[in-house]
Amino acid sequence: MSANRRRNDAIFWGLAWTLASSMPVFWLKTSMGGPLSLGVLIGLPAVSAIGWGAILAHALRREERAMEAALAAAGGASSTAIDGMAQVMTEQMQCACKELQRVDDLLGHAIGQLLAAFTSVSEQARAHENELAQAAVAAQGTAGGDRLRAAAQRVAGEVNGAVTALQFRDVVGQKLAHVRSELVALDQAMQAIRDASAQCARAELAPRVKGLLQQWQQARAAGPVRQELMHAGEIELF
Amino acid sequence: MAKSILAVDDSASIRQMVAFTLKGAGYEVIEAVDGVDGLAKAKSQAVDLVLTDQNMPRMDGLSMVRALRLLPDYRTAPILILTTESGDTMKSNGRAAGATGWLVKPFDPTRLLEVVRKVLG
Repeated sequence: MSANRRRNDAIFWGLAWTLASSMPVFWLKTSMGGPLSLGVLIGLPAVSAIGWGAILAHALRREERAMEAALAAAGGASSTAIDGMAQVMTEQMQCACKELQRVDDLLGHAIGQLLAAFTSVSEQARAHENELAQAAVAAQGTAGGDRLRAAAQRVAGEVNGAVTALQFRDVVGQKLAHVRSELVALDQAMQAIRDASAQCARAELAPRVKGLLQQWQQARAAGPVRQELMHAGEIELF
Repeated sequence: MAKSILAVDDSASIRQMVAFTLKGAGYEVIEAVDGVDGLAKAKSQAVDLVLTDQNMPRMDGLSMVRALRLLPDYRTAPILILTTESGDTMKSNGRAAGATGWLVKPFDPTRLLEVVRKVLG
């Protein structure tokens, strides 16, 4: 029943009561002919007011019940909505974790192949570098000697560059592990929100969710990896 | 006689790169896969230098450093942390634990050798 209908009903019954309670007064006035007593004059509005009061109280109770029903429905709807949203997010986060694991596995496979190739090539490169360096010493003071020394340094530089670059597996792996742990923590926070939506009263839900999100934010650890590029890192001796 | 270096890292690629760099410079390299393994190998064979990662399973680098510093052979031995972590707090923790230096990955072989030579005297 709509609020307008409930209001109209209350007005109708109030007027009906007023009319009904006035009827005896008119009957008394017409049958007795004399002036109405003070008791009747006071009693008529009192009876009318009591009637109106009862009708309004009844109307208010109906409004209250309607509002409670609406709130219960809204509470159930919001709880269901939070539950559904959390479920979707959990599934998405689990998918993301699996994808990250696949990336990690692919990286592991790729680095395994790269390292095997590096092991083979680096020994040859180092031997080549040594030969060039020895030849440069033998040809010291000549233009050829300078060229050989430059070539030896170039080979050494290339090998060093490869050694630095091949450490990307560790750096990227730690970054992936950090992202995965963040996703797991977010998943746990969503689970806590789902539990809260099922357990808390509607009025308590918003502050509870806010508190859970704050807890999650505070628990977040800074990523261990800050490197943006594979440049050699800093060194500090204590 | 070649000086011995214990390289502790759960990443096989890092261990391989460290070993390649140090062996190329004439050092003997002993490898360990985490703090527990590193501590066991350090106890079984005294090494001249320990080069360890921080984030490892079972026992992290700083815990291993603290444990090593309690052993007579490692009270003053150089211990370097080689890690992806570059935060000031972590470095302070490393210094407090007794580490000799902090190297952020990825390392440059030439600079790593410079530091190793310096701390080994």
